[in-house]
Amino acid sequence: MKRGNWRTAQIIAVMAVLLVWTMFPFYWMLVTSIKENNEIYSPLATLWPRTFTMRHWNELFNRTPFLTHFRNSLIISGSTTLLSMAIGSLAAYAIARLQFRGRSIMARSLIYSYLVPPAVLFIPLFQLLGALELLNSMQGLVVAYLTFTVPFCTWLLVGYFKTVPVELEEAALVDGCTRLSTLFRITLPLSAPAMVVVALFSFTLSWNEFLYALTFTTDKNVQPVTAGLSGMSVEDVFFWGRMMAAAAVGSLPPVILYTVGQRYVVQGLTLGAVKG
Amino acid sequence: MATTGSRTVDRVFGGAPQVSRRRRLASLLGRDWKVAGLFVLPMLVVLLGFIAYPFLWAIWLSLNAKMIGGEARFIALGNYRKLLGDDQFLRAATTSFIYTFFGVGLKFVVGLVAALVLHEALRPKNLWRMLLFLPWSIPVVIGAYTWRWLYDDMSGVLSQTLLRTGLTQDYVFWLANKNITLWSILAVVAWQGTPFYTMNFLAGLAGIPSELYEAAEVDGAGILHKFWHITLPCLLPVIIIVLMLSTIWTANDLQYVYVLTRGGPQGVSEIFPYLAYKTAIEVRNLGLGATIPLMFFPFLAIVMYFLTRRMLKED
Repeated sequence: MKRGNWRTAQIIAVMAVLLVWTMFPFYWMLVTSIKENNEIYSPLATLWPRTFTMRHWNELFNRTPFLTHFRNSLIISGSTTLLSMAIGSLAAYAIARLQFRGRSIMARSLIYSYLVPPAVLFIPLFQLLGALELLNSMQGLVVAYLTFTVPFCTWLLVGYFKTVPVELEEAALVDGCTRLSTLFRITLPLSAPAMVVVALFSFTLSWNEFLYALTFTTDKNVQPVTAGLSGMSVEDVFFWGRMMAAAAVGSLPPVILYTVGQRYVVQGLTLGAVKG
Repeated sequence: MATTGSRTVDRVFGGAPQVSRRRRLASLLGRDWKVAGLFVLPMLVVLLGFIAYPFLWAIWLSLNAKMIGGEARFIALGNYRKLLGDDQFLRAATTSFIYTFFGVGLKFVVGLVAALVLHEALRPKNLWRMLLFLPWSIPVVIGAYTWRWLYDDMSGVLSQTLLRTGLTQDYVFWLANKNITLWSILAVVAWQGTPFYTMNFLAGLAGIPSELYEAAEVDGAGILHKFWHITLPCLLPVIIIVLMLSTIWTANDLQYVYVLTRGGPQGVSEIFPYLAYKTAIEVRNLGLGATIPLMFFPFLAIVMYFLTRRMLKED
């Protein structure tokens, strides 16, 4: 009994440390955004604001291009998600169900493609997008983001489609359905959980991406939130109140999505290699 | 089966030439090659056009002297030779190994502890899990900017707290003091990257049958014994996959360095992906920039090989 209590105390202690370490930066982000400047830059940091102000939030929305960046992020991530789901489910269906040469090579190359790091690809992609006149455009970023979402989506869906009972599809095919309508009417509805994982990760990975956004866009009208953020400092001077307000809003979409879709997360983290 | 049957029919009845040609094509490319080709086409455009081709193009670039806007001039291994004799590159290589090793190491240790504790934690378990996952879900740049503010030397809360509690005599220059810069960055890397480990380890822990522990308890095994002989071995497949994926991602991520220090002070936090960015985009030397990440490709290829083998085996 006594040992059990001691064990519980240890667990609570470690959990407390982990929670403070994890949550404090978020707390500080929010609390900074509602402090007056003299309090933010005072030599005595206050844990709780002496005076509350919405000044930084007002400035963020009215005097910076943040809302434009936010809209761009929505457009870019949304388009990437829709496109990669379409491309991914078509290809995954073929790899999981149809018989053709090169199927296993394709499956293997999906993992390889997924693992090629952006650090290797960003320079040639910069030139390629330049040649296609897609630099400084949202379309260009969508194309760039497809390089990590398509391998990811396709691979995950192949694995899932294989678990859908093939008899249902055969029945549909016998009834005269084409392969495409079988995919849409039978396989996809039965794979809803996998589609959720794929959509969740396509959207959030695109939302969070930085290197391509930084390298391929300089125009404020097409930049997403991540790239726009680094443009919010003047020289090396940061307006931390405004910056932290932007950080909070910019984090919101992925935080909401991951929180709502928490039970789908583990399947997506490692391309489904770790079973949850 | 069906294919063989109809082919026999063809041979017997001497089917029309186009039909047999179609059949031969089908037996060569597979029964459903036409539909399949249509279905995989968009994916192939992405895979070949925007991953394979740029990758090969990067290799070609690395064999050329090429500035942004300038003509390419073939110089064979000139860029590689130049880098191997370049102190800045060699230092970035060393820094990268330290950065990756300790980044991955920290995330592994904290992630394992967090998973073990969370596995036994009190309710509401889902709430703790959700909170501990938060840093991973936000954009890396946002995490990095938030920490840059926490690390501010005069107005930053960390520096001030240490000073006020008397733990330090002066402000701490987290990102400007050469001796601690890399460690300050690694703390952020761990803060944001650990949840990836925690969540996967937690999933792995949930998969260990409790009978194993019960049997060990009957034999009188202690906590440490159970950890070494049950938990760790059962978790090993997960650990290996997580470590390999994370090594690739950590080594190639320039975001923390870009936001926190831009490689400074005096280059001590310059890791290779950041050096590649600086060389290619800021100095506008595309050829040399493309060569930098390729120098590390052999290491990457080894990890990729083992990882791919493991993931295909899982299937």
